[in-house]
Amino acid sequence: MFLAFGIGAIVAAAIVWPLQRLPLRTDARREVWAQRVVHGAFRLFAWWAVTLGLIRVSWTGAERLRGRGPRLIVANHPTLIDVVLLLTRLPQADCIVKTAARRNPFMRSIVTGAGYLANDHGDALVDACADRIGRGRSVVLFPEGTRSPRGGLRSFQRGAAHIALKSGCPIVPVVITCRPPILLKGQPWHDVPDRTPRFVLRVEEPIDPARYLDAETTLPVAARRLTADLHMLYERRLSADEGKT
Amino acid sequence: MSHPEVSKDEIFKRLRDLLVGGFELRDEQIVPTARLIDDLELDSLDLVDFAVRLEQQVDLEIAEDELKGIKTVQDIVDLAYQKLNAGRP
Repeated sequence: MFLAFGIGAIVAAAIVWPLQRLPLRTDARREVWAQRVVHGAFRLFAWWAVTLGLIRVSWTGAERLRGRGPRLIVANHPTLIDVVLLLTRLPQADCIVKTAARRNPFMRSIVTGAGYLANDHGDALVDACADRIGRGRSVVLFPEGTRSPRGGLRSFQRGAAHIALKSGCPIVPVVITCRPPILLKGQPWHDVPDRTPRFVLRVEEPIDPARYLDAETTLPVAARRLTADLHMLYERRLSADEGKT
Repeated sequence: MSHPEVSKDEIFKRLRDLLVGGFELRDEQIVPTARLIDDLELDSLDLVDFAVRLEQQVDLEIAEDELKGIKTVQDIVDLAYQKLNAGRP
């Protein structure tokens, strides 16, 4: 799976690199084209992994991701390939990546070509995401900031709430589970379970940030409440899921 | 005519009101040794908002560099005391 991913990244980079040099009218247009290449590459990768029986994938509520954006899509982050599966349903999505990804020789061309944002400056990143949303683009982020602990959830950073409140864009939560777990943080890639891991991605009802704003509520308080509600939603869904297994 | 000196107690009370009202914190959480990030769970966005509120409500302007050096509630009290009483004999 890792080999396929590496080869895919090289192929995608080979497509994105000349795209960056095409005489398109704006950088934004180049970025969206590069994002479509990433979407296509990830679809191919997911199809390949499912066809070979390496993973199974099912979606519920995926129609909430169809049609024109902008959307602010947030997800928990149990495994290394969550973003791959998410992007199979999102032809355009601005992702937030670790600064290190911009230095990775496999990733650099794609990350910069697709205009993905670095996660280094909190307030500047919120402004940048709100700006992308203001231009009609969808943004994907993981409010835990890194992969979830085994079977659980980290506390959420408040960036997603701040972006939603600043832009007025609804948050679309996606709850991801993988049973049995693979590619967790700290889990070796060769730690393969004896049955095929099944990914379930549930797209929830969008949350309107306007509900959290009124004349008496300060922005930091609204961001805290929205983040707490979002975290509670994930806790409920994950514990309900745990009860089923 | 110069303004009367603003005491550290008065500054602390104003800061406490600002933190409780602006960030949904409880009175008892606001103690001089409370760390803004680790104990009060303010993030970088909150700190920017906090600096704006200090300017609007306490008439205290804090530069970005000064903000980076602030770790605890007492650090703000000390900085505010120094700035608000600057120029007094």
